[in-house]
Amino acid sequence: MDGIDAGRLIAFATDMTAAPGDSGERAEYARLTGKYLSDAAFRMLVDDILEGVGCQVTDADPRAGLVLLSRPDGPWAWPAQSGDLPWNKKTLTQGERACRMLVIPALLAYIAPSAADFDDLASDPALRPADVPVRELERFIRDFAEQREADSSGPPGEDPPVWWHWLQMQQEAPTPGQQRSSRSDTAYLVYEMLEFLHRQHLLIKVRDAPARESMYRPRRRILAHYRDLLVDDLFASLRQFASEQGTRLRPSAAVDDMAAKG
Amino acid sequence: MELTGHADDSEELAQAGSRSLSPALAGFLEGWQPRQRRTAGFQAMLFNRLDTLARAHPEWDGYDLLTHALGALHLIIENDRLTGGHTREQIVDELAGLVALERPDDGPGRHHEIAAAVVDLLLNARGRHTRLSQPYMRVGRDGAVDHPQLTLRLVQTTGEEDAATPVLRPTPEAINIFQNLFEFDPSDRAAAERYRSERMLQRRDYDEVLSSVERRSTSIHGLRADLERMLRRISYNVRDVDYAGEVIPRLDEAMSLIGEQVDAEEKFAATVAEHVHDDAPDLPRLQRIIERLQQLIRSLTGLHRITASFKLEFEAQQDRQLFTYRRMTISPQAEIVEPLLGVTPAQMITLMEAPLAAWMGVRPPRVASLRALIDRIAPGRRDTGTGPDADPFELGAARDPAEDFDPALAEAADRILGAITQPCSLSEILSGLAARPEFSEQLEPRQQALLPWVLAVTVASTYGSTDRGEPGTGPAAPAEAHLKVLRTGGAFDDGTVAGDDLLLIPAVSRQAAP
Repeated sequence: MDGIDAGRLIAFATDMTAAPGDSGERAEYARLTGKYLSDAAFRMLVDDILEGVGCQVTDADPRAGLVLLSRPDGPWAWPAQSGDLPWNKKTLTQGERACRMLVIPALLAYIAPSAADFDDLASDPALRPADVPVRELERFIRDFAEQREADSSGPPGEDPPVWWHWLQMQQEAPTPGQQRSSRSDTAYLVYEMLEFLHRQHLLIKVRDAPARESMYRPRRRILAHYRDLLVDDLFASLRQFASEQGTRLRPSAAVDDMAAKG
Repeated sequence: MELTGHADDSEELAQAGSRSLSPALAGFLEGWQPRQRRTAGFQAMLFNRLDTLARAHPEWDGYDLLTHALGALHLIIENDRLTGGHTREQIVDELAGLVALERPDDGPGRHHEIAAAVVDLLLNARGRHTRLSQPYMRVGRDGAVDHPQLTLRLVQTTGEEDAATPVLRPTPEAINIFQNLFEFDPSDRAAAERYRSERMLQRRDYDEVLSSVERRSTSIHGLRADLERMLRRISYNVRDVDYAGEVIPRLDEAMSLIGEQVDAEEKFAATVAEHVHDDAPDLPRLQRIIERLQQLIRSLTGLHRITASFKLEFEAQQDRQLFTYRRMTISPQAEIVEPLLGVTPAQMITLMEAPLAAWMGVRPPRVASLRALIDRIAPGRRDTGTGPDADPFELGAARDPAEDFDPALAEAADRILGAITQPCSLSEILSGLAARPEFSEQLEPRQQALLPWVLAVTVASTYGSTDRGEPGTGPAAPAEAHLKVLRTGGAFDDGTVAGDDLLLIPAVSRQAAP
């Protein structure tokens, strides 16, 4: 029976649309998560199977279910260059790809600007992260970009930084005839990214409105994803990058560096 | 704020006092505010004046005036208890030692000046030693609001009329403030409430008793929240909790506190029960008090149970947390987003591509499905509906050409198969390859290694196929198109290819060819 339960739990854990709940399949997921938390032998079985496919459980919570992290080369990992990821579309320029990538950490900074904010959210399951309107998140990023622009001295040089690329796009491009929303502005870019995360069941769409007026709410499991990302890979890479560049990780360091090169 | 008179019903007050006042706020005005405002007001008067003193002396920035004020109060209380009181000058001299400890580099003059200022503040020397005062909001029974003064004296000067200098003596309010700051504890408040309840019970003021029991119920919520927070932290990250240094002492304290409260509430319940008899003046209210008391005792024992479960929970979490939460020490805004804005797109992609793919979590495993494949590649259904006819010249989206073999390999396979003039088996062809180097000499070693596989696949794909394509279209038919392929029933395995052996019979036209 444990083997069957382990299989079912892993099926739930790999299905991003699944969430524990009170009835039907959701109740079954909740029961299996509870069993995972309380039954050491069962937990070991599940963990062993997952280890075999290059995954580990990084969070197990009766409300959010199991959160899995895959080895980059694991069979269940997203290939880093998968065309299904919105920042990897072949039609995008490097600048557009970078701007899309930026939306992911910016979303985190929007809901939890400081480490203490993040800890509050992560430690208390009753707390709910703030809703994220598309326009507000775009404005949030644009403010930082404009700040960078104001701080920079002179033109950005041959290979301009990401903030420059962000500001090159209009916040909201005019739409002729207002029949269809333009797809060349940053508000639409943010919408596309949030909509993708919504389809991945990391965000809940709380306002179903035209693209730029949409609003999303982070699910609890996205916090677990962020935690896995930020305490590990991203920050380690950023720190390494900064040390290689001879800069320090502070807000204006990169700009100073750019200015020095310019 | 204090209520003048006595409102029988909080709703009555809500209606009388303000049309918009909720019952909860009316209850606050009736049951909580008068006492809380007084206690808070006394403390606020002290703290406000300290704040004013600090603002008036920016040069004292860096001194913890609040500590020195509490130190002065401590000296006054202790000296009053032990020696019958010290004079202002004695207290100031002693306190200057504490001030000097904080910033020894400043001169003794400054230390003395600060100590004197703090003691004078407690004495309200600038206000001619009068009581400190503060207006506060008071709501009358009819809802009228006025602002009488709340007054406080912390230290008074006492002594014989002819004594040269008076000695300082703390007032009861000062002692209470000092004491409560040290020991602001739910258990003490509960004890005070019980004491109050007992008095009310004697006076048969059952409403008061009932509200007191309810207040005690409310006060244990705080303790419960504390314990639950600690439990949550344990389940959150067991390594984040100092079990021996933090949890155990807190649990011991909570256990003894709850135990005492349970005992005391049970005794009080027994006292209330003594009042319950058939000719009691207000039997229903007494019964309600007992009911509430029993609820309170149940809550307390529930709390006791939570506390007792801590050890088990801790051990269980230690087992569970193989995946340990690591507390975030990174500020996402300042340390992630802002630096990322400054990198170039290429650097951003290098930095983020792999972590973001990992961030996405796992991708549901994909299992190949023949049905899905057929659905994907089969031509779309013809629309036989009632809509306008489809454009017959619309060919649809162009498809990518299927991947083919390496042309050189395909050509080699074609030559070999084209040279067959007698029926022979696939295994014979493959084993005979080595003896016919002319077929593969133009190939690179890598291609030579693939040749048996290409041959086997080409022959196998011909097996059972009757599709020869449309005559007259496309390139010339491949060599294998002129072969008939049959199963021999045997199997072979030559180390590179394995499977059913197949018999190749050249067609008549091919046989006739030179």
